[in-house]
Amino acid sequence: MSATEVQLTLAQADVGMQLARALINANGQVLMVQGTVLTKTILSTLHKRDVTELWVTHPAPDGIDPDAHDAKEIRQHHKERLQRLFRKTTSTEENHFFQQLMHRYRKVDAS
Amino acid sequence: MNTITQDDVLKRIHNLPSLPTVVMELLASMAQEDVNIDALALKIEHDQALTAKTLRLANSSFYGMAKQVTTIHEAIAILGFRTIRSLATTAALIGTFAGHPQSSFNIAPFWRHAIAAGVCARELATHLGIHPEQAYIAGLLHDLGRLVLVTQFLPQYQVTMAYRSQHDARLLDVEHELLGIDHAAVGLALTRHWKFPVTVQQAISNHHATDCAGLAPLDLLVIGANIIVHALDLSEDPDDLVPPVPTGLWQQLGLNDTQLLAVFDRTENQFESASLVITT
Repeated sequence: MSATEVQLTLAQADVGMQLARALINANGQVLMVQGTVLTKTILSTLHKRDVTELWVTHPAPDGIDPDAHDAKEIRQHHKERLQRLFRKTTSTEENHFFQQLMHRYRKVDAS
Repeated sequence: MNTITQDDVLKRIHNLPSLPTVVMELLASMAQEDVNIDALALKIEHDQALTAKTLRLANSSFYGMAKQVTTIHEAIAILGFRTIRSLATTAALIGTFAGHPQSSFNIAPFWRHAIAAGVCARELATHLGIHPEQAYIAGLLHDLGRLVLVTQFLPQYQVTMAYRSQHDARLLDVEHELLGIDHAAVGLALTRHWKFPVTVQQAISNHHATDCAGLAPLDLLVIGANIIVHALDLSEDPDDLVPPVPTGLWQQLGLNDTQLLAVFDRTENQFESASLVITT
């Protein structure tokens, strides 16, 4: 095992962690490529596909600690990214609607 | 710095390798009513590299097939001709630009963004009555002009990218200021040269339009897909910026909050599997 990889059960995996190795099923199909950042949707898909274990990087990218299961930290990460992505956005009606909607999608407040 | 004229672009486009004949035929077939699927399938199979890549994509988890397919005919029988046409076109286009020296230009975020836009455009298409495959191709190719600039005008484009980074400016604005041309116009020139369907050419040309008046549904869809995937952060470019939303876009797309949120979710959900094309 590389010093930057850690093997987890699927139950231990959390949003924001990054795959250190590709996920391959019994038929040899690549389910997820190396480097994939786990999202809630991806984790749900992996449960459906009966994935039991996976390798993630340690520590996770962008300052997310894979041991931190605190959703607040994830939301803060999303909030900061949205602030950066929308940093040049002007206050038109269309821009405002979209920015608000994206914050709603990420479950973070837009303040 | 010397600006780039339309004539310069047209001359350099001829330096690019031609798309495989079969891909030109696949693209042309998008605008045709009667398509000889068997003949096109045979032509794909004659290109071994293209066949291998297409089958690898068809066998990826994205399509969730119970068993592996080993021939193009079998893949068409299970996934349909239109899906295989999209896969073969995607594989061929990525291959066309794979061998060019891109210097400091990081190609992976480019293709991640392109594939995300294709996936999102396909999602939006299902709401808007546009053929999903055409939407996917238009979304996938909307920034193709950037690849022409980076491969054919590398010194000027490196200065452009450095300026953009230094001033935290929008790429389109910097292209106008320093190059005198933008990647949407260059993309239009390339797709005309490659004889892409006119609707796709227009969508590429208009993807940074500031007003939706007079735009075709496919144009609106690609504009929306581009903005959404920038905001979803799927390219993983730390300096990315969400483009401005043109006047009237959401109204003209006619999607409510709930539908848009569902599009965001499905785009993210499908993206990782779809992006296997970058690494396979």
